[in-house]
Amino acid sequence: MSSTLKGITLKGSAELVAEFFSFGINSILYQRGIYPPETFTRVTQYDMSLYLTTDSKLKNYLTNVVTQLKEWLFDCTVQKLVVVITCLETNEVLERWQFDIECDKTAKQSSAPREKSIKAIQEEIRSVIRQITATVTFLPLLETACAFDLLIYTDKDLEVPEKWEESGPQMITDSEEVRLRSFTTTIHKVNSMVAYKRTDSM
Amino acid sequence: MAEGEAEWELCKENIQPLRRGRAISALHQALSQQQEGSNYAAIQQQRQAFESELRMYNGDDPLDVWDRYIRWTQETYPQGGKESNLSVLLERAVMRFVDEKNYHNDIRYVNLWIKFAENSTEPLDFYTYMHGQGIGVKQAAFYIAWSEEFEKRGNSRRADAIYQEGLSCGAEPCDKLQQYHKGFQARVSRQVMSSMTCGGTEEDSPEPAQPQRASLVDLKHRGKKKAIAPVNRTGASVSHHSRGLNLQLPAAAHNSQNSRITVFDESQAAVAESFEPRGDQWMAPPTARAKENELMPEKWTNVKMPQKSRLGHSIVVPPSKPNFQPFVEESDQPPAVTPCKINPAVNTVLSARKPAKEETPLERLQEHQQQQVAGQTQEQSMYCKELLLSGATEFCFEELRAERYRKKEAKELEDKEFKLRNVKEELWRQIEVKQRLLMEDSQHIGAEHQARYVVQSDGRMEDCKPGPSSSLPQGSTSGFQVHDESKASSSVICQPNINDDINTANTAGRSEQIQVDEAEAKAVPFTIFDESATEQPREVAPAVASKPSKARKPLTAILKPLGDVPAAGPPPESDSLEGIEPLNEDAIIGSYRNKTLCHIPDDTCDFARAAQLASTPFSGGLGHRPSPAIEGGLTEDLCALALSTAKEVPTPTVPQADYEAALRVKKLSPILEASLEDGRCSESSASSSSLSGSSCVKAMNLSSRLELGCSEVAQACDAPAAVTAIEDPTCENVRKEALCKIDLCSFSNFYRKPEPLPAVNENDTMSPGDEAFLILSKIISRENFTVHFGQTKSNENVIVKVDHQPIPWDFYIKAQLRVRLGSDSHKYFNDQSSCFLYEDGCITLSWGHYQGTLEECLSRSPLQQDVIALLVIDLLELVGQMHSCHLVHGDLRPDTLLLRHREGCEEVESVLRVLDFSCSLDLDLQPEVTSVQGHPAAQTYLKQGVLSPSSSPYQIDLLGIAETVHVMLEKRNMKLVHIDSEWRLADDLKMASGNLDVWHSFFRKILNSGNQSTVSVLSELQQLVKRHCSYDIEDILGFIHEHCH
Repeated sequence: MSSTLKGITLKGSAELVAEFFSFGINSILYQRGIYPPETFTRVTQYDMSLYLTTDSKLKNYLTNVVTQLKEWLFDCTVQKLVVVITCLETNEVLERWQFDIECDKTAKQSSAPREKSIKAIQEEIRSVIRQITATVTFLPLLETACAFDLLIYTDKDLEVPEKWEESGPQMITDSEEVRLRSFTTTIHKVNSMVAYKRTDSM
Repeated sequence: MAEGEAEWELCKENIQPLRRGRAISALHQALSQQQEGSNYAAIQQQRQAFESELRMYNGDDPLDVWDRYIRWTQETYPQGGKESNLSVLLERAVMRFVDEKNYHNDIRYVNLWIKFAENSTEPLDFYTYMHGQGIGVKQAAFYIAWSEEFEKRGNSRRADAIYQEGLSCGAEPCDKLQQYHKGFQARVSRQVMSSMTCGGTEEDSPEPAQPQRASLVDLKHRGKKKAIAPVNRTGASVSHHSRGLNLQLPAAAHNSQNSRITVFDESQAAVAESFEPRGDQWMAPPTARAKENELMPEKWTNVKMPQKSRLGHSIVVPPSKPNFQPFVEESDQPPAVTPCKINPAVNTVLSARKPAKEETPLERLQEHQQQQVAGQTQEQSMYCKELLLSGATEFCFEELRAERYRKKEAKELEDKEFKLRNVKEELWRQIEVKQRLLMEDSQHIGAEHQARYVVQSDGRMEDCKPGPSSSLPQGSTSGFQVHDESKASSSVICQPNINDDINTANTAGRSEQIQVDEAEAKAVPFTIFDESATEQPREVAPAVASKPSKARKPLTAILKPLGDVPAAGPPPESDSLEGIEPLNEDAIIGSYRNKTLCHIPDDTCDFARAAQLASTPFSGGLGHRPSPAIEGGLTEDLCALALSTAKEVPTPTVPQADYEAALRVKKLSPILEASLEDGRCSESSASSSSLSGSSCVKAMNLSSRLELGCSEVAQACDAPAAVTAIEDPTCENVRKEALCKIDLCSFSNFYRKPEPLPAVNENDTMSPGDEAFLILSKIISRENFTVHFGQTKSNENVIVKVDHQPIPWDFYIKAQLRVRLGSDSHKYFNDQSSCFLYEDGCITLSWGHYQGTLEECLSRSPLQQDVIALLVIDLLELVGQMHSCHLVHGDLRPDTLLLRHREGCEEVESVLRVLDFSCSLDLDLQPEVTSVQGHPAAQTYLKQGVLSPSSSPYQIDLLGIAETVHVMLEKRNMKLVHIDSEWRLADDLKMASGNLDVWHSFFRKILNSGNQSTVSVLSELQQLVKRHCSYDIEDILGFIHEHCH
């Protein structure tokens, strides 16, 4: 993938979006304190500093997911990716980061690259990640130890690969939802949104 | 993304994170409001509302208002700041309840304290203070906050100790505390671990070390790097993880600063790490001097000129400051201001000032408490200072007053409504009682002649009649009118009483004499003295002796001898006489024939007072003395009187007041009133002519006893009538009972509404159902119902009957008419009607094109003969229809009949309609009603004798028709005389035109129907009128129409 390219292909798009998820999920995990901050390392990406986990198990897991996701992105069969943050003790869903993916399936037929520079796309991605970071302004403090789960919504007829299992949507009752920015590669469009539980206690 | 949604992002640095998070909608609102500035007024208004609620709150949880106010403030001012007034608010709230022990472990209050502490520079002081005061010692949140504060400062030992204490104190919720404790322990152990491993892998440490301060410093240095800044959370909202990291810094710094410094150098090579050492320094310096020295080289590496000035400052400041201050500043300050723009030099200045300023709340608090303990009365403000200052802002008196006024107004309105309703109910109840008395009264009329007879045969009784009448001139008119009216009937009872009275006079006199203190018996109240008077006091006196309220004992003493004589045992009801017990049979019987009082139920008091005035030498305490007079006869009496006139002057005042009070208490008791007459009764038996009103009133207790005896006699001879006639078949209870048998909800257009009766006022619109209409005027207004005339949007008229009793009787009757008459009901009863039953009343509506009541039409101009004839025929038919299905209207009068407009009427429909069925009877539903007795509309006729107590209820309607027709013809009420065993009109008809004979025979027939069936009477009458009055219906209707407009 070279940044000098003016257009973007399906493959490139899938890769870009998968990359975004890789960084995005890492960001969320760091942001929300799901893993101890010591286990993150800083890298520069999209012209800003981001945190990536150094925990090998987590890394492995994420790589697996992202690889699989990339495939689906390439097939244009993925609809949503959801990061669910649950309370470790009660298993209650506290936060739900949802990324809706709109795939332009026509890109599968015509391999002609779309006209959108990587720079422009990255600019958009950057603003999404920034916004994810900024959500601390209104998100409630996660006061308990939390775990996270990744859900991917795909088209119906898709075979469930090994290591994956079907799951419920894990929605939050009484949630407050905030739409975040979106970005598009012209082939894949990602709309992001966070839902969180409103707590009335101080 | 829409602009609006990104708003929060643009302001992210200016939004203080809350532990509980923020509702995004509230946040948007707050931010947009701030930007526009347009909603300033709205915010102020809301704030004002909270402020006044703080002052006006009188529930039992004043903290709630504060809590909500503070939450609102936090939501509305996401950036905090001065205009939010949050710190003031918190301080006030905290101070306000510091003495209220029951709040000390209220989670809301504890949270306020924690917020307050977190807003200050020295939270630890606050926590210590709270602990000392016992605030929050049972709340896990308190220990968590306290411990975290220690943790923030790197004192993990103390932090742990706090957790331990919390756990040992049994703070709630326990599991939360334990969970935090565990988390804390995990962090500490992680720190220890990492610090152990740190030695070898120093390169890794920069990363964990950065988060807290680094970004801010970075921003300061390189504007371009701003993007990095928001990555880190700061301040109180930092999650424990990041806080743990902060900890690491100071902890490490304390131990070995030098090693840290080497870290900086290394990381400075990296992109944004240069700030890290600064953060460290901020935290680290144990002494001011050391700090100076370290700062120097740092500054230079940054090549920032202004820092020189900082140097200057820091040189000045440190000596006066303890070492910890910069330290505190570091961990606490960040969220307050956007630090990136603040020159470090300024920072130190701020930190120098703040502690002094921020200490005050706690100091103030302590002062405040000390003051309270030391001398509460030192200073006392003579105005409602607390109220003016109790909120976060100061109120002025006017604001308070306005608030109170508004509140009062609202409350008054409510109260008024409620009271009015109650009063109305009460009045109605009383009136019902009176009516019952009245009924009872008339029942005895029959016995009158006989009684008179006996009275006159007794020589001593001659004065009986003159007695009351002669007292007339003495009394005030209002008082004695009552006498007058009842006079005639009073003699009725005299008959059985006479003998008793004589006996009683003696026995009572004797017994009284024994009981009475002779010394007391000197003031005799009667200035007017004549022969008859001398006798009278004997009789009355024992009763006079007893003030109504205390009278019981002397009276019972009298009663016993009395009871023996008429073979009626001592009445067990003596207690029942005390209050209003309208349904007590004995009370009713005992209080019969109180006609006048019935009309003016409130008048008893007036009457009594008037009576008292009438007899000048009134004295409450005089009662006992007449007894010697009884024994001693006339001469002694004279002496006693002479004495009394002499002595009466000093005595009266107090007893009189007493007496009046007693009277007022019993003001409305029907028994009292009843006994009044009875007093007279006994008096008359004693043949006293100069009976004074006061003694009469005084006598009532006695007399009621007396009467009980005689009433039983009366009952004995008149028993069946007495029992059956008591109840008014139109009264609330009877109807309620009757309607119980019927499922009203099964009727169409019947609606129950679980709410109080709405107010119905003229020129108001109301819409009990779907349709709204305008109330135009009030047609009828009675105690328990009103009828209004209204208009719908479609120009149809509505008759709105508002009952103040939840008995939809009108609706029931109308429905019955329609059911029982079937298609026959079209002519008179086909108006659409609906009913709304409320908790305390009901509204019955009927729609149609009405011109108004018959009375209104009559008042406009006299009707032509033809028209009258037509209306009479219709009326006869209408009533005939009702009677045919066993319904009695009961109150036919020109103002209970309605006229419709001709247009909108079908050919078969009559113009005549019935407005009101308040007095109606359903004899199917109320089979127990067999006679007119008890029916309110029949009472006057019963008195006149037109109706006999055994007359059938249908007869009432005949008389009602006669009355109505008479008014139509003559425009005045009918007067009847009994001539040649026939009832006739007292005055001849004076009609200018028309067939007089027809009307004469009409009246003769209708007034003397005897026991003939009313249905046949009505149809005969109809024939009679029809035969003689030819008319063309169209003409006449046309006439009515134009006539009435």
